[in-house]
Amino acid sequence: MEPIYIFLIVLAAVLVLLIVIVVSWYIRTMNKLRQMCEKVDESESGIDVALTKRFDLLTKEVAVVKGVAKHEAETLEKVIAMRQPNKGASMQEKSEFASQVTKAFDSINVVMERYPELKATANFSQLQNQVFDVEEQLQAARRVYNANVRELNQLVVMFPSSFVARRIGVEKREYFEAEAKKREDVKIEF
Amino acid sequence: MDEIIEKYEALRLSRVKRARIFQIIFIAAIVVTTICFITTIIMGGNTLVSIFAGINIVLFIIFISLFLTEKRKWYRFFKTTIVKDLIQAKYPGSVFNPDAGIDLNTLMKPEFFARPDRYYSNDLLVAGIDSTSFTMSDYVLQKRHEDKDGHITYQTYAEGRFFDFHFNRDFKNTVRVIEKQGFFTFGDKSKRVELESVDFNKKFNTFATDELTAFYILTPQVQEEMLRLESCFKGNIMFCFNVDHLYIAVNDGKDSFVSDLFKPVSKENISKLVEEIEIPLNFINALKLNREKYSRDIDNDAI
Repeated sequence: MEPIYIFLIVLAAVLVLLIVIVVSWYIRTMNKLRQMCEKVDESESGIDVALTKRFDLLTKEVAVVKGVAKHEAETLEKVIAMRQPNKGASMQEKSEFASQVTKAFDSINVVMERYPELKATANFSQLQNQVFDVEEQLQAARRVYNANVRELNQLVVMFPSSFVARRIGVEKREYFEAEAKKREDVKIEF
Repeated sequence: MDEIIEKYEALRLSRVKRARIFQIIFIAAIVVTTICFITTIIMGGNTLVSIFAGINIVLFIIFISLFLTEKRKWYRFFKTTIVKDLIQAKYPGSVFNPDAGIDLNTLMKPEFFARPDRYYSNDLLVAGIDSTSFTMSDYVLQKRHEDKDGHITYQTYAEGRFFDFHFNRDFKNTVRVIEKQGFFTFGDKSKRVELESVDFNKKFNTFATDELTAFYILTPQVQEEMLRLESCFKGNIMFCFNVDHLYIAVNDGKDSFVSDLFKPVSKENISKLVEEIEIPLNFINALKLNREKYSRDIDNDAI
């Protein structure tokens, strides 16, 4: 066979191999990005579950406190009148809702200080334990979510996976930020 | 405390005196036997010399046995009295048995190690602090090897201390933290989890059947404490949170509460012993096992 034909065959084989490698890489990266998106959605639902639980506990605590602190009933009703974010809400809306619930718990704590007999009741004590636990669950869900978002965002911004991300429409996702109040400097007053 | 140390040291010294006498006699006996043997070779057979050598061999056997018995008696006394007293002082109401060990099935539960062909365990300690109870013991795991000539030997592949902490909280998922070494697979289909701490991820592999549970248990503070605990031991350390237990295995080839007749009972040595005894307490405090997180009576369907 003529050398030129051998050369063309080898060149064609190399080109085909390159195309196969590039296409495989593209498919693998695309699947990885989609998989990460699913993971982020799954971990976002963990946050939703924790937020809902937290709000439910808040409602229960208000019901218990209202029974004792009758004068504060109206104030307490306002506390739980906030709107829960729907499923498709943004991370910022969820973060703001989490802050509102924290403020509501703070209000209940203020009322509780005026009625020390409330702390001694078994019902309220169990609710408090549940609140602490749900807080920790929320923190864990937030950390899981942020870890997954960090991994996804790295793929979206880094070359060459950023190319695939742009093609299939995968964008950076926002983090679930710490509540603004907790990021302020702690003021100690005596 | 000083009086007690002095009392034990006086007792040890009396035993050392006795042991030294036995030691001198059996060394002398072996020396005389050797001289007799050389004499026999140089000067030829001599009945008297042979009888004398025979007597010395018997003396050697008797006195080396007495010497080793003295050492064993002290070792036994050390564990059943000194160590036991120190453990009782630290963990009132605890049970310490130097001859018993943790059950092999319990050791196998966290799936840190392959099932051994031979298993030894001793220095069993059962105690509790607040709402957390624990069991601790030494372990030695050996694997059988057969060479091409059919000779069977047993090789130790894991040795150290094993801890089983029991708390009042049921985790529905399993979380394992293992120092990076080798390849692990688990029967419960655990997946690898990456946490936030870069140092932690460099040092350990984390496996969990549920990612959320791993993040719930392994808070940044717990990760820091695990790194600090790892630096306290020479070998490898492994953690496993499973249902209402935390299993910890330290694989450092060390035996606990070791003593020797010729090692003095001093404040310094007793302090080292107390440090060994306090290891479970350090784990409980570092990982906060006696706090509300591990003792909550909560109807929790998530974790």
